[in-house]
Amino acid sequence: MKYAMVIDLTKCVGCNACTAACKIDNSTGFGVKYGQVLEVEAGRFPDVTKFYLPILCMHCENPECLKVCPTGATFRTKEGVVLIDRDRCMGCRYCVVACPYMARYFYNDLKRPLGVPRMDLEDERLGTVEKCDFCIDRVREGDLPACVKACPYEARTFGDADDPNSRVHGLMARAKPLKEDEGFNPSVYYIW
Amino acid sequence: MVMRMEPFRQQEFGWRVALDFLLSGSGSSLFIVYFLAGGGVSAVYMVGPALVLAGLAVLLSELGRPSNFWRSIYNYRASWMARGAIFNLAYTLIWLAMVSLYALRVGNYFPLYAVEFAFSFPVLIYPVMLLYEVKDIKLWRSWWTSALTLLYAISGGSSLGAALSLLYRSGDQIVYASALINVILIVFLFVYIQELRQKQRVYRSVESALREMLYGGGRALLQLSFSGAVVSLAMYVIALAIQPVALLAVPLGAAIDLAGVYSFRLMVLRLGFHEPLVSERRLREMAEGLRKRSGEPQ
Amino acid sequence: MSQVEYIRTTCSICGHNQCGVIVKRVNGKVVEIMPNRDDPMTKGSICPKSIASVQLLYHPDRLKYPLKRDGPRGSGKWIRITWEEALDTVASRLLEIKEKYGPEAVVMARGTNRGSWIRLFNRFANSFGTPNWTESGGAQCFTPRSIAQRLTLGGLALEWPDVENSRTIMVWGANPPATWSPKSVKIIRARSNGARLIVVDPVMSNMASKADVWLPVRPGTDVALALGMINVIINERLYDSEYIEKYTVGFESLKERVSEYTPERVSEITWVPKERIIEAARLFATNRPSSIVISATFDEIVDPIQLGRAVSIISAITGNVDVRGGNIFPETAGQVSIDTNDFIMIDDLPKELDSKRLGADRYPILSKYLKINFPMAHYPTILESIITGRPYRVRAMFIMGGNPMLSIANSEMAAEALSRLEFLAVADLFLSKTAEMADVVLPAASWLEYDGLADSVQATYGHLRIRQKAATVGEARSDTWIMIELAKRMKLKGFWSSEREYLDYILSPTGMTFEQLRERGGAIYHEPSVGSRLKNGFNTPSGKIELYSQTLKEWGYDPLPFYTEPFESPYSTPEVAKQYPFVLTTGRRVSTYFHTAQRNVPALRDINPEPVVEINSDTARELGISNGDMVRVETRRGYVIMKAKLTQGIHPRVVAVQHGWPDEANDNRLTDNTACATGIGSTTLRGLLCNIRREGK
Ligand code: SF4
Ligand code: SF4
Ligand code: SF4
Repeated sequence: MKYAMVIDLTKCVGCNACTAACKIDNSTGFGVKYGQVLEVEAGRFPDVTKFYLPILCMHCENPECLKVCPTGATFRTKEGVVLIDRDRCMGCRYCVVACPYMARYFYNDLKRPLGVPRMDLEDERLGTVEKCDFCIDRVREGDLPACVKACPYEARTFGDADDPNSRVHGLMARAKPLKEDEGFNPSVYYIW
Repeated sequence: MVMRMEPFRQQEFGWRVALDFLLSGSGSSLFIVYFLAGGGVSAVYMVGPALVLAGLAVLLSELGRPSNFWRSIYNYRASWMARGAIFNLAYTLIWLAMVSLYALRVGNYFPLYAVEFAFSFPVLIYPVMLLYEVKDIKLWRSWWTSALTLLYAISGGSSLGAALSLLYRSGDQIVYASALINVILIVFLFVYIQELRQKQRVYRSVESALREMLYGGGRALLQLSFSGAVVSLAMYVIALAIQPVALLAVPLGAAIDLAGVYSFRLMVLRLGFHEPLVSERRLREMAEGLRKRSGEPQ
Repeated sequence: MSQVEYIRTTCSICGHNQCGVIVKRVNGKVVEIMPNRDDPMTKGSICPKSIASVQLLYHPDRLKYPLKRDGPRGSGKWIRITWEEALDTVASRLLEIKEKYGPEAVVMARGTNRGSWIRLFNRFANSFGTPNWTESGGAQCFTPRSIAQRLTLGGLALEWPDVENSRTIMVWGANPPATWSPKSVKIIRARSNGARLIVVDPVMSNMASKADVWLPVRPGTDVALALGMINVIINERLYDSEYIEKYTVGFESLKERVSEYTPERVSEITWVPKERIIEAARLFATNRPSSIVISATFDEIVDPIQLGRAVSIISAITGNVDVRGGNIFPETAGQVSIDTNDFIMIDDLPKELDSKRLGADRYPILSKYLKINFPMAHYPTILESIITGRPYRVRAMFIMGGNPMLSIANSEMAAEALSRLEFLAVADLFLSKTAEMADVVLPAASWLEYDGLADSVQATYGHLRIRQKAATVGEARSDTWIMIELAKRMKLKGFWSSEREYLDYILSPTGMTFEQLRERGGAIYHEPSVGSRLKNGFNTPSGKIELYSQTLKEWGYDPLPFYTEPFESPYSTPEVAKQYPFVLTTGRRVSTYFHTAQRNVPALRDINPEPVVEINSDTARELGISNGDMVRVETRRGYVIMKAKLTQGIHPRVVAVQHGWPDEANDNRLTDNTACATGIGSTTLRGLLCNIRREGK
C-alpha cells in the first residue's frame, strides 16, 4: 500500500481553497502552511504563461528528512506516509534544511498581524517541526485529505497507488513528480 | 525568457540563532583572550561567561518549549542545538561556582578558571559544527565558512577584551591582538569572496542563491561584516597611535566589530543554499505543456 | 461517542448566495465546511472564504451583544444593552429624526448581502418612507450593468452565461476563480472539455492564466475594445445576419458608429496588440456557441452603461443571446420574485420624494425611478449632503453590513461625514471602522447562524435552496430578523411578524412552507426555458434586442455606444500624466477576501498577509524597486503603501493595487468621487493616473 496524490495543473487556478482547508483542518499556526500554492510565470509581456503549482510534503519513499533526523522523530509508515512524532522532535531543524521540497516548518514564532487572533493549536506544537501528514487521521477513517476534498476544480486526486484499479494509479501513468531523477521517489505527482 | 517563482520558504535559522552564536562565541573567546593575556581583574573574567549565559537564554527562547531543552540534553550527541544547550549550561554552572567562590572569598579559584578556559573551546566551536554538519548546504559545509565563523568569534571576543581592558588600564597588548586578528580576518574575507565567486561557477544549481548573496540582500550583510572589520581595525590603529583618543576609539572599534560579527552570522544563516524546487528547464517545459492544454476531460 | 452531523446549506460569505456546501458538526461544534459536489447547480464550488468561515464563526472578536456608545463618537467606549433596548433606540431615534427633518434626512445604506435581503432592505426603506436608500456598491456594483442589459437585452442575460454548453467563453473584467467560484468551476470544466477561453483583464489574473487569448486592456478603455471587436465582426462579416434580422433593431446605425473603431485605432487606445483583438473577435464569433462572463468592471469605469451595452451587443450580433451555450435569461424557481418593483414597494413611496433622492438631479439613471431600475441615492452626494447641508442635511444613517469608511471612494470624506451624523446605527459581525463611529451597534449573524433562503438577484435564479442554521454566536441575529423587528416597532406597512412567516411568504407560490421545503431536501431546481424570448419577444419597448436604444435617446443620451477616455489618462489629461505617468486600477481581488472583510480571519490572512501592488518587472527595475519592497502609490488625491509584486503579467505602464485593506493601504485614498459617470454616477475605480516609488524594505 502506498498513498499518492496527483495534481492536475491544467485545472488548478490558484484559488487556495486547499490551503485554507488544510489550515483549518490541521489547525496550523500563523505562517505554517503544510500545503501552499505557488505562482509560476514564464515569458515577457504580453506573451506570458502563468500557472499555479500546489506543493505539500511529497511523502518521499527515500526521504532526506528522515535520514538527518537525530532523534528518530521522523518515520515512515507502511502506508507510505512520512510522519513526525511530536513528542520526540526537539526542534533542531536539520530536517527543515534537508527537505528538498521545502515542506517542513519549525514553529516557534507567535507573530501575527494586528487584529488577527490565535485560533489554532499553537501551544502543543511550539518548538517542533511540522508538515503535511497526508491527513492520515482522516484517511484512516475513510475520508479524503482536506485539500483534496476542498478543491472545487477536482484538480487533486488521492488514493492508493499500489491498487491498479484506483483512479490515482491510472493518472500516475501520465503524471510526473518534481525532481524525479534525484532518487527521493516522491508520492505526489503532477499532470501538465 | 523571464521566469518567476517565489516559494514561501521558512528561514530555518534566524536572528535568534545568530544572536546566540554572537554571544556564545564572543563570550567564550573573551574568556580565552583574558586567560591567555593573564592580566586584568577578576571581575573581568566574569563578563565572558555572563555573555554565554545570555546566549543560553536566547537559545532557550529559540527552542520554543521547555521540554525541548531536556530533550536536547538527552540527545547530547545529536545536534548543534543539543551541544549548544549542554556546553552553554556547563559553562554557566562553572561560572556560577566561580562567582560564589569569588563572592565568599574562600579557596583558590584558579583551577576553576582553568576548567572554564578548557570549556571555552567547545562553546566557541559548536556553531561551526552546525554549519559543517548540514551537508546539503554547500555554503555552510565549506572550510572557509567554518574558519571565518571561528575567526569572527575570536575577533568579537578580543574586541570586547580590548574595550574592557581600558577600564583596568591593563595595557595595550589586547588591542594589538585585536588589530592583528582583524588583519587576518580581512585577508581571509578577501579570499572568501573570491572563493564564492568561484563556487558560483562550479555549482550551477546554487547560482541564483549565490547571485542573491553577491548582489542582493546578502551582499549588504557581507559588506557590513567586511567594513566592520576594516573600520574597527582603523580604530585600533588610531587608538594605538594616539593614546589620548584610545578611550573613545577602542570601544567604538569594538562596537563596530561586533556589529560586523553579527552581520556575518546573519548572512551565513540566511543564505542556506537550497536547490530550486523545480529547475528552470522543467518549469519551462511545464509552461509549454500547459499552454497546449493537455488536461484530463471531465 | 461523538455526534457527527452533516448539514447541507448554502454559503453566502460573498453575498452571492450560491455555493451549495456541507457543514460538518461534531458535538454541536462546526468543524469543517466542504463543497457539495452533488449540488446540481454549483457542482462543488467553494472558496477559501467559505472554508475558513469556521474561524469567522468562532472568532473571539465577533460582536455578541448589542452595544451602545458611551462617550463621544469614535471614543471606543461601549456598554452592553439588550436587544429590546437596542431596537427601541434605533426605531425611536429614526422616527424622531423623520418627524423632525422629514423622511429624506434618514439614509438607509447597505453593504454586504449576508443573506437574501438586499431587496428586503429596499422594501424596508421605501416602507419607512425615505427615498434615500443606497448601497456601498451602489453605482459601483451591478446597478449600471443591469440597467445597460435591461436597456439592450431586456433582461440580465450577461449575468447568466450558459458556459457548460459553450465552445468559446469570454470572461470580461472578471476573475471568477477569486471572486465567483461557481462560474469558475463551470468555466474550467468547459475548458477541460475543449472550450476556448478569452480573458479581458489588465492583469494576468487566475482566470487569464487559463486563457487561450488574453487581452491585457488598459484599465478603463474596455468600451473601445468592445467596439473594436464589433468592428472586426462586422467588417469580416462574422455576424449572424439571420439572428440580427429577426431579433435586433438598429444594426445599420451600429455599423456606421463602429466604423470609426478600427483595430488599429482601438489598439492605440487600449494598448492591446491589434492581432489579439482580431483573433479574439474571430474566435468569439466563429467558434459558437459563445458566452460572456462579466463582473464589476462593468460598473467601475468612466462610462459603465456604454460598456454594458457594447458587450451585450457583441453577444447579440453573433447570435448568442437566449440560445444554449450563449447568454440566457434568469428566471425564478417559482417563488415570489424579490427582484421586482412590487416587492420593494416603490409605489408606496410618495411621488414627490422621488426628486428629493440625493443625486436625482445629476444622476437620473441611478436615482430617479425609471421602471427599469431600483432607484438609489448616490453615495458621494449623501456624504456631501451631510457635510455641506446642501440640498438638505442628512441627519441619520442606518448601515447594514457595509464598511463605507473603507469601501467607498474618498475615505477621508466618508470619515468626516459619518462623524457629523446625529444618529448612526450599524449592523455588522465585527466592530468595523464604520461600526466604531456608530451610536448603536447591532450584532449580525453570519451565513452559518440562521435559517433562510438562498435567493439572490444575480446568482441563483432558477434555483432556490435553503440556508440552515448550524451554530449560534452570542446574541447575534440575522439581518432579516433585525429588519422585521424594527419594522414592527416602527409599525411599517408590508412586513411580517416573524422571519419564518416572511420565508413562507416568499415560498407561497410554490405551495410549500419553509419547513416543508427543508424536509424535501431543501432545494428547488428549475431548468431555464431557453429560447422563450426568441419566440415571445424581448422585454424591451421594441420587443427586440436594442442595438440602437430608443429609451436612451428619450432620456437624452446617445442611443449608440461610444467610447469616452477616462477622466484621468495619459491622453485626456497629459499634464497630469507628466507627474503621474502610470495608469492605475484598483480592481485587483484575491480569493481570500470579500472587499474589506475577513482580514482578521487567521487562516485567510496567512494566505494573503499583505496588501500587494502589481508592477511590471521591467518598470520596477528602472525605478529601483525589487520584489517585496514597500512601494508608495500616489495619485492626485492621496497615497497608499503596499508591497510590490513584480510580474510580467501586466503592461509596463499599468499598476494594479488590491482593494479593501485598511489604513495606509486603503485603495480608496487614491480614488476620486467628484468625477462620476454620466447619468449613472459611478466613480472611476479602474483607469486613474498614479505614480510609484520605493518606500523601503
Ligand atoms: S483548491 Fe484546487 S484549484 Fe484551488 S489552488 Fe488548490 S489545487 Fe488549485
Ligand atoms: S517532501 Fe520533505 S518532508 Fe516530505 S518526505 Fe520528502 S524530504 Fe521528508
Ligand atoms: S494532505 Fe492534508 S495536511 Fe497535507 S496538504 Fe493536504 S490538507 Fe494539508
